[in-house]
Amino acid sequence: MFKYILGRIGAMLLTLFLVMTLSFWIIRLMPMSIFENPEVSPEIQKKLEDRMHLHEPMAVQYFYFIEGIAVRGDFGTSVKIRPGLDVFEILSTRIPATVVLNAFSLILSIPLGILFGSWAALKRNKWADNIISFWIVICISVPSFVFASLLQYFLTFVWPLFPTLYNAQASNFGAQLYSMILPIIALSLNPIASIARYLRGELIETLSSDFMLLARTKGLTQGEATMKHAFRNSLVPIANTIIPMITGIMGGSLVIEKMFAVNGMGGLLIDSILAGDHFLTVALLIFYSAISLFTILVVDISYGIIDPRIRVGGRA
Amino acid sequence: MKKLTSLFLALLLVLTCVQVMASAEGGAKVYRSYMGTDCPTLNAQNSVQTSLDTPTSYCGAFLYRAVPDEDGGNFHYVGDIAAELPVQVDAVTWNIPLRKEACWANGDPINADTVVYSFKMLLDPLLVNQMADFLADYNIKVLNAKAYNQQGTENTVAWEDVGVKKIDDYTVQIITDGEYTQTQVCSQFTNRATAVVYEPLYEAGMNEDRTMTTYGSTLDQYMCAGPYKFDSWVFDHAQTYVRNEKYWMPELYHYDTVEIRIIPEMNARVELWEQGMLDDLSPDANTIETYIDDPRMVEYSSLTIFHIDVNCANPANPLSSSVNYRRALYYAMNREVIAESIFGYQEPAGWYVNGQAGLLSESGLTYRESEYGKAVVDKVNSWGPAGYSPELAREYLAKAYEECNLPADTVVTLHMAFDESDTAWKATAEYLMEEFPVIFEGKLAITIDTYAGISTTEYKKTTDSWDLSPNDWTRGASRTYPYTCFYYYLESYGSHPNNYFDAEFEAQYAVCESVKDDYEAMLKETQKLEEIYIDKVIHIPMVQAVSYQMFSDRLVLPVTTYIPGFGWGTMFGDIAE
Repeated sequence: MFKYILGRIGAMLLTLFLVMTLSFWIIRLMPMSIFENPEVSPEIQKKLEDRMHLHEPMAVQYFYFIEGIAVRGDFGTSVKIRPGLDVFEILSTRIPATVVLNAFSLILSIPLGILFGSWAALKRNKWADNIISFWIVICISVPSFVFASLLQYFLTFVWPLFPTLYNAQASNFGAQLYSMILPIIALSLNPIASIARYLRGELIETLSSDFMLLARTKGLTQGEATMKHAFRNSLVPIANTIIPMITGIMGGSLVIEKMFAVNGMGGLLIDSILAGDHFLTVALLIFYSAISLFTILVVDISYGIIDPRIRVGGRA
Repeated sequence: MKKLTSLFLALLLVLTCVQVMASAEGGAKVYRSYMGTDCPTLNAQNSVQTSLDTPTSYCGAFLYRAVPDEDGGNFHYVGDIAAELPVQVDAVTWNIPLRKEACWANGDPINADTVVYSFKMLLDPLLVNQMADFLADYNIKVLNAKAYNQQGTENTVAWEDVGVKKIDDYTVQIITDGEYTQTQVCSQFTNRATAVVYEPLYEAGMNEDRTMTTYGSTLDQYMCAGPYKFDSWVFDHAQTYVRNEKYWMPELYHYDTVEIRIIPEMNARVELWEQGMLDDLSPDANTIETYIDDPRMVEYSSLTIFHIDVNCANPANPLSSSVNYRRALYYAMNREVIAESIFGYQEPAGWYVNGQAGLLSESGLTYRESEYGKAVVDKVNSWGPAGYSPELAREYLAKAYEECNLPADTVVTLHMAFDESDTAWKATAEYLMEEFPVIFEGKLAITIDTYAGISTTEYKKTTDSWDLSPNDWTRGASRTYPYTCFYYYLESYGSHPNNYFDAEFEAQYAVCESVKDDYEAMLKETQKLEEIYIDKVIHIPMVQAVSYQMFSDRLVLPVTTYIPGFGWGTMFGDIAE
C-alpha cells in the first residue's frame, strides 16, 4: 500500500508538471495583451511588455517561468488582479471564505443527504419516498443560482430575516456565519439531493439482498440489520460522491459567491483569464489540478479503508 | 405539530432581532455606497482602474482638490497639500506653496520632498507606471517629463531636467512646455495619479532592480493622508473609511464613516437599495425601466459616445476603402431607435465629441452647449434625426459602387464583430441585419461574428476580415480639451482601431493642439475637426451614453445639478438627521 501511494504521488507530481507546462503554453498563446488599454500610451504598454519578456519567443518565456519556480520557488506575481502580489498570497487571502462557505455547506449536506436518502429507502414507494424523490429531482435539475435568487428575494427582501450579502467585516465569527446562511443553503441543496439519491438507490439494493435476509433470520431487528450491514455496504459507492465534495471545498462557486458578494475563490480564475493576468491564471490552474489529483488519490485510498476487501496494491 | 410551529416562530423572532441589532448604526453619519469591482491596488500610480478613484479621493492627498461652490451651482479648486493656488512666475513656470500643517495619517510631515519624490516615482523610467502620462502629458505637459519617463535605461534625460523642482521645504515648482491657465495647472494636480506616496513604504516594497513596488498592495503597505483613512479593506468585499483626525481641512467633509461594498450583482444592489441600505444606486439597462419615473432619478451625459469602427482595409470587402461607402453607413443608422429602444433611455448621437467635453470654458458651457458644438448638431440634424437618412444612404452607396466599379447587382456582406456578452450591440446588430437589406435594397447585408475572452483590439489583431466593430473608447482628457476625443484615430496612436489615416484630419488635430492655450480658438478648431470627422466618416457615432443615478432621501448633496468633471460631489455630502 505504501509503495502504491508513493507511486501515485510520483505520478501526481509528473501530472502537475505537465499541467503547469500545458497551462503556460495555452494561456500565453491566447491572443491578448496584458496591458492593452486605450488610456495607457502604446509606448508604456510596450515597455511593460518588454519588462515581462513578453516579446521574447515562447520557449524563452517558458524558460524564465521554469527558472523562477526551480531556482526561487517563485510562481510569479500578479500583474492585473492584485499587481505586485505573489500569486499564492492572493490565493491564500481568497481561500478562507470559500472554505468556510463550502465546509458548512458540506456539514449540512452530508447528514441531511444521508437522512433523506435512508428515509426514502426505508419508506420505499410510500408518500415520504415520493416527496423526497420529487424534491431530489427539483434540487438536482434546477441550478443553484435559481434557489439563491429565490432565497435572496424571499428571505432578505420580502421577509428580511437574513442579510442580503455576506458580511466579512462582522464583529465576530457568529455574525459572519449568520450572513453566510443563505449562500450555505443555496450551495447545499444540490449536494443533499445528490447524496440522498445515491444512498436511496444503494440502500434499496442492499436491503433487498440475501445477506440482509440472513441478518434478519439471525434475529437482528430491521434497524440493527440496516445500521450494521446495509449502511456500510452502501457507503462504498457514496464515498465516490462525498470525498470529492470534501476535497473540492476550496474550489469555490462562481455564481453563488458573486450573488452574495462572498470574497472567495469563485470567479478568480475567470477574472484572471479575462484580465490577462497570466501568472495568476497558471497558478490557479496548478492549484485546481493539485486539488483534483489529491482528491483522486484520497478516493482510491479510502476504498481500502471503507471496504477491507478492496486493497489496491496490497498482497493477494 | 404545535411544538414545531412554536419552535419555528421562536426561531423567526430570534433571527429578526439579530437582523435589527446588526443594522443598528448608533447615530453616526455613515455614507453607504458600492462599487462593482474592487481596486486591484491602492497604488494610484500604477493602475488604470477607475475603481481606484474612490479610495484615492477619500484617503489620498493631492496638491489641489475640486470642491463645490457654496451655492452648489459649480465647483472650484482649493489647495489640498498646496497652501494656495499656483503662482505664475513666468509664462511656463508655476510655484506651488505647500501647507506647513499637511501630514500623513501617522503624523509624518508632507513637504516639498514628499511631492517631488512622488512625482519622480510616478515618472520613473524603470518602474514604468501605467499612469505616468497623467502627470507628464494630460491637461498640461510637464517639461521633459515624457522623455524622462520613456527613456528606459538609456539615461538620456536626467531628473534635474524634468520640470518638477523643489524650491524650498514648502515650495514646489512646475515648469511646463507651453503656456497654460491656472485652472489647467490645478486640474492636472487633482488627478488620482498625482496623489502623494509615502516614501518609506514605497521604498520598502521596491524589488532589487527597482522595477516594481508593492506599495498599496495591502493596507500595511499604504499610508493615508486625505480627509479619511482606511478602517478596513477586505479585498473584493468592502472598504471602510473613517475620519483622519490629522487632516487639515475637516470642515469640508461631513460623514463620520464611509462604507463601500463591492457588489458585482445588480440584483443585490437593487435589493439593498430597496431595503434602504445604500445611499445611491446607478440602475443599468435592465433595471432602468423600474425606476425611470422615480422622482429621485437624476441623469447626465457621460464621457462615452458608443460608436462603430469601420474597417477601411478589409481585403474581402471591395467597398472598404471608399469614403462614400462609409457615408452610406453613417446615414443608414437609425440612432433614435437604437439609443432609445435598444440601449434603453440613451441619446442618439450623430457626432463624436461627448456631452462633458470642454468644461473649462470661460462661459461654463461644454463644447456641445457652445455655438460650435451646436452648429455641428444642427448640421447633422438637417440630414435627418441624428443624421439618419435612408435616401442619402442609398445615394452614397450608389456612388460607392460606381467609385469601386461594382456591378449594381453585387451584394456585399458586412461582418459585424463584437464581444458575445455585449447584449446591446448584439441587439443592434440584429436590428441592422433587418434594416440594411431594406434601406440598401438588398445590396448590403450584415452577418455577425462574435468573440469572447479577448478585447476588441486583440480581436482585430487576429483578423482583417471584419467590417464593423462597436467601440466605446473615450478619452478622459476630452473633458478639458474636446479635440482629444479623436486621439485614437491619429496615425501616431499605436492600437489604431480602423486602419484609416487621413492627412487633413491629422493636420486639423495638430491645429487644435497648437491653439489649446486659447480656449475659444480651440473650441472653434474642434468644430472644424469634428466636421472633417463627420464628412470623412472616420467612424460611425451612434449613442451618447446617459448615466442615471438615484440618491437616498437621507443624503444631502452639495450640488444642485450634475457638474461635468466634478460630478455630484458625494464625498462632500451630508447625512440628514
